Parts: sequence; C-alpha cells; structure tokens
Amino acid sequence: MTTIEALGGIVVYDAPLMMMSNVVDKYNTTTMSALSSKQASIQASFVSLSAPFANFIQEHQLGFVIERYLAIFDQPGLRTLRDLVEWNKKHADLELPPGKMHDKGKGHRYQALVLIFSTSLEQPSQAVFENGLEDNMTDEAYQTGLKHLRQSVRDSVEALWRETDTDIIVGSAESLLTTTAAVAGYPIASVPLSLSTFNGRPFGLQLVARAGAEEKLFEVMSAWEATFPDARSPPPMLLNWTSSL
Amino acid sequence: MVGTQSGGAAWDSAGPMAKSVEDCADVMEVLLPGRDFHSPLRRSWKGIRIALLNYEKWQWEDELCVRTPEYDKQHVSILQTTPGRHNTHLTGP
Repeated sequence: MTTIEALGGIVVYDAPLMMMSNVVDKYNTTTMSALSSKQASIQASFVSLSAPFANFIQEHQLGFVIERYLAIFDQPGLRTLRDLVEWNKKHADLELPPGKMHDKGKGHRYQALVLIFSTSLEQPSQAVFENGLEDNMTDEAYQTGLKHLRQSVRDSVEALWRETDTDIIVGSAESLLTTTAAVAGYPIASVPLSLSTFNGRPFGLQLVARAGAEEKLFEVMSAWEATFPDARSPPPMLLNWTSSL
Repeated sequence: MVGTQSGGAAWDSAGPMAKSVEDCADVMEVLLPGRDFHSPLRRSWKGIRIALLNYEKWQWEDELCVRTPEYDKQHVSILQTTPGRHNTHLTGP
C-alpha cells in the first residue's frame, strides 16, 4: 500500500465499512427470520453468509438452483432438492461417508453450532440441503426481502465511500468482503499479491466498485499489473518440481 | 446463460478470469457489448482512492476457515508494504 501511495494513489486504512451482521441489525433485515437473531447468525456464518436474512434467502433459492443443476443430468429420480436429500441418504456409503468436523474451533461459537446441528454436524453439507427443505418463505417475501437486504448493503457501502472520499474497496481475497459485494450486487475483481511461504499457495486482494462501474475495477487492475508484475509469478513447484515449495 | 452454473441465484454474476488485465478487458467487451474496457487501462495510480479494509477484522470465522498465523502474518506484512518480489527465497535448487 505504501508503494501505491508513493505512486499517487490515495489509501484510507482501516476503512469503516459495516460488516454484514451490523448492516442486518441497523436496517432490521432480521424481522422476517424464524430463528432468533443469534442462532440464525451462527447458522448463517456456517453456510458462508454472515447475515441471518441472507441465510433465509440462501435457503429459499437452494431449491431452484439445485433443480436447475440436476436438469443437466439424465437421472429421472433425481430432479429436486428433496430427491437429492433422499438420494444421499439411500446411498449414504458413497454420498455421506463418515466425516470429521475440524476440531480447531472449539470456542463458544463451536459449542453453539453443536447445539443447532446436534444430529447433522457430521454431515454439514447434507445439513445445508435439509435446511433448504424446511424453507417456507413465499416467492414474494423472497423478492421483497432480497431487495431490502441488497439496498441496505448498498447504502452501507455508499456511506463508506462518501465518508472516506474513496471510490473503491480493497480487502483480502480471503475475507468477508466477497459476501458484501455479492449481496450488494456490486462488481468485484481479484488481483494477485504473492505466494505464501507457508505452503506455496498464491494469495491476493479483492477490489469492489460501484454498480455498473466495472471500468473502475479495470483501471485499478491495470495500475496493479503495471506496478507489481511479479505478483503474477507461477508457483515455484510448477516451474521446478524439486523446488522446496 | 449456457455454460454457466448457478451457485446462489441471488448472488451470481458471470465474469472473465484471465492471465492479464488486457485479456480480461477483451472478454468483458464480448460479455457487455458496447462498453469500452480498454480505455481505463491507464497503468497509473493517480486519481485512485482506495478504502482498505482491516485484514484482521474482515477475516472469516474460525468455524468457516481455520486460521494459519504464519500465513496471516505474511499477508499483512506484504499488504502494508510492497507486494510481489517476496517469493524469491521460495525458488528451489
């Protein structure tokens, strides 16, 4: 970032963008949820969207996303989310092999997860499908809720740009920023940063711009590429098999 | 869109992935006809105003992704200073 500043870019550090959970509280997007806010938020982060309402939207759309996907295959008994849940149970030896939740996160949130998913913790992916079956939201509530959620997140992002006099958000590519961009429906791009000395894995940053402002992303990607050409290097082991990483 | 698979209907959007920003711009002009993605490729930071998120605060929860402190340390240190050119010691014999 200091290099970018030296070359004429402006960087506002520790930018005060509202996290999804705060957006949900402020704009009251939880009112339509059936679970308590705390339960829902734990469950939501489990399926990768840290917002209770986003989770209900996620559950509602799971049915038709899965149907659209299954339509690709020539398998008559496998057409709906319910078919899929049953199929997995029937072929449990193949589809639901004994798993093991990682045991690193044994904090209070992990304990709370155990309470919610007491019977399904061994098969978190199947639990996501089963939760989808319990969805009872109407399409109308889904559309209204989605619109409200999207507008709320957009408001929070616009407020950040206004307050900090900036026009692009930059964060780690492995962070909650992806969720914010997806829910807002704002364009997002990735740029390479370096290769990890830990295991050789490449990592990078993400850029988020206003709706319809994809050109701004390209402007920043271009500046990035010009300034940090080596960030795009292939992993050492790809070039030399005997490389240490 | 033919050839794409929806992950979450409300959040999905197709976009290019390429080796260079020029290649990305080429594909974008096919995806969004009538728009010009080559003019913005100015290769300059002048006039770009970035809101940088706090790395620590925006990390995923441990339940989603177990943290690797060594990895985080490197990520933060490179982010604050100069990206790229940090992997030379990774090159093998």
